[in-house]
Amino acid sequence: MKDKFAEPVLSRRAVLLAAGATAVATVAARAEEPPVKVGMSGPFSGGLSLLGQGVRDGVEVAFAEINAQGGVGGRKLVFIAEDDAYEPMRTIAAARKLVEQDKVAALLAVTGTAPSAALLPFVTESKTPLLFPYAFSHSLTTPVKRDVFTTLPEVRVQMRVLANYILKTLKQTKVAAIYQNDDFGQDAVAGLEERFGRDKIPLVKLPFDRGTTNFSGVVAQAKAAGVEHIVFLGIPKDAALVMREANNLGWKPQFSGHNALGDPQTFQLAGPLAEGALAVAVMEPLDSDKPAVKAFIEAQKKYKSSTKPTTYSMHGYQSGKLLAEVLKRSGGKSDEPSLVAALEGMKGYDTGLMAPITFSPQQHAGALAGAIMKAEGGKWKLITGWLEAD
Amino acid sequence: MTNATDIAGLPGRRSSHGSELVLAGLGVALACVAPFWLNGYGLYLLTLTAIFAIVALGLNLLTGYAGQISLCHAALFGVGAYATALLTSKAGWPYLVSLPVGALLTTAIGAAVAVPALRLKNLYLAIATLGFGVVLQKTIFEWRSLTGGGGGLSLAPPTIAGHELGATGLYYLALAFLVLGLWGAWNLSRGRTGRALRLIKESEIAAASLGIHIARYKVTAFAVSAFYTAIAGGLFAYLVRYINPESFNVGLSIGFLSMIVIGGLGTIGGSIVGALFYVVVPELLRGIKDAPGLVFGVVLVMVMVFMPQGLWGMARRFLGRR
Repeated sequence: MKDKFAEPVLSRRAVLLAAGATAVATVAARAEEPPVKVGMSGPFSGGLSLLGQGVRDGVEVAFAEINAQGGVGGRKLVFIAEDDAYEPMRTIAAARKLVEQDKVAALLAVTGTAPSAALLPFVTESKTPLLFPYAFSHSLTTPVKRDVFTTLPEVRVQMRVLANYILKTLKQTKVAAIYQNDDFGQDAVAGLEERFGRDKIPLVKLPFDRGTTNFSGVVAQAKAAGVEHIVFLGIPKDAALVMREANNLGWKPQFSGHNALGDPQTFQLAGPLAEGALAVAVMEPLDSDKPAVKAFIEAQKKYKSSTKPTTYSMHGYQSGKLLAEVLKRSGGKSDEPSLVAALEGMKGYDTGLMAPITFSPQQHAGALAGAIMKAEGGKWKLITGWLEAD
Repeated sequence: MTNATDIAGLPGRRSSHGSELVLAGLGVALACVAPFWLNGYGLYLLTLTAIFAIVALGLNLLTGYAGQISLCHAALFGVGAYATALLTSKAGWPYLVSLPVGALLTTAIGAAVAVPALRLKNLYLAIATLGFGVVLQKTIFEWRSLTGGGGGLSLAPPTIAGHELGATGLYYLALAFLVLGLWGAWNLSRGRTGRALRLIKESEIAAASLGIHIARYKVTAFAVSAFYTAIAGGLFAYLVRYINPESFNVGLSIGFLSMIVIGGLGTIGGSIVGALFYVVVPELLRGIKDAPGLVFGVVLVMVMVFMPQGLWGMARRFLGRR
């Protein structure tokens, strides 16, 4: 707390000095180079703690694995995670502590849409890289902000991928969107409409309020409109209710949804009714046969055996691995200009866990692609490769 | 419910005011020099404390003095934040104008809450204000064309007379409002209104029999409290520079109530100490991995068990004033 506020927050010397001091204290004489410190803020308490803890566990697994192999260019990775209970004002406090007190080089995998949005002024003014937040909002990368980089495709991009698949591959034109009437739902429907509008195909829009449990009205309306395909945009619990409602009417339309539907819990909630449903995948499913997914699950078992691999921890793990790749490309330098330059030079980098990632000075949303997965035999299986949104 | 702090506040004990003024002056002087030895993190927390202390002062007038429980103060805080932010960013008004105007708008709403409050007491009032808070929060959420809905509102730094107000400037602004708020609460609590509110808390029947216009005083308490809270909201919006409706939930209302209970109900010093506790203690507990919430809860229980009059009541006892 003794530093003057006016001091440049992330001067390279300050980072090295602070990192050096910690190296003496924690990593002892083993490390020749000072470690790279990065921080995270996320909900580790409160209603969304499963999400925050999952992402955090994933980063910790990745860092443990990288450090066990000697770190990046001899530099170990140090991770400091702070709780914000999903309250933006606490996220800012956490980020300021991490940057000004702990002198972290970057904020990694900050979890939550509102908390990430709240950090934008601070990271811009303090020139702190905000890397790979677990958030799907449009505002993070539009317009491009020098220090903000994302990997997860925002929901509008997902909807363009899904609409392409419905119109081109399934060749279905009688489609209804049953969507949660909030910012997320409206954003998603805007993405669908954009693509449907281009082919001049009407989209039946049926909103519902968050928290409702009665879907008989919207399902009956969809059936009356004669649609063959329902895009459901909401949480899996509500998706299950809609599937039940349609089943009660003896009606079997094709169901689809965004990445939240493609979760194992959809099967617990909807049972056999979920069979045949489609969802947009933003990352590989957990039971994929891909070697990168198997390696991730093995790593989590090895380094954090008390926790379970989830889609959240997969994002955290990939974020940690990506950071290591960025550091390798920057020649081990962790100052802001080096990190940004290394990131903006990333072209089609494949982690094996999601679509290849490309950044450029004009594009800080790393992946504008998703894949389609299908519910088969109680599992989600990818049925397409990574599809570009346009 | 008569306690030491109440008695100390009555006019007969005027002799103690001198030392309290010295204490207040010392506190203000310390707060004025604080930015010179704090980093951005410390300054942020101190600004947040000042803002929450303004809310606590207002809420203490309503709950601590008049005995009316409110669970809609987070929503009023949010309305103040949105009103100030929209007047500044969309209508283009100067920040120093939109702040009080936004607060006056919120005050009108606070006075409207008071109308049902005239008929309800205790838990019934709490539930009614809870509902009102949800209505306000939902209104902000649904009124997308104006508020931007659930996606929230990002704000540019405020300017005063063409100069951008940085973190230090905003801190001093919040401090100035806190000092004004302290002065207002001090005067209000020690005068006719303060005595009337305290009597209403003890017994409405007794108060009415003494000719106190209960309805008028309750509305006054709600309105003043809403004004304090809305000013704080307007400062908060530009401290965080991102506001979204979800932030102004019942949890925050309960946070505000806990501030004044921890600090000391019906005391002015307690409002500040409570806000400081609420902001700083969770930050100090960051080092405890996985369980800061648990430890914070335990600390809360201990404070209430061992210091039923709050931290401020405890401090006064140590200072030898009964």
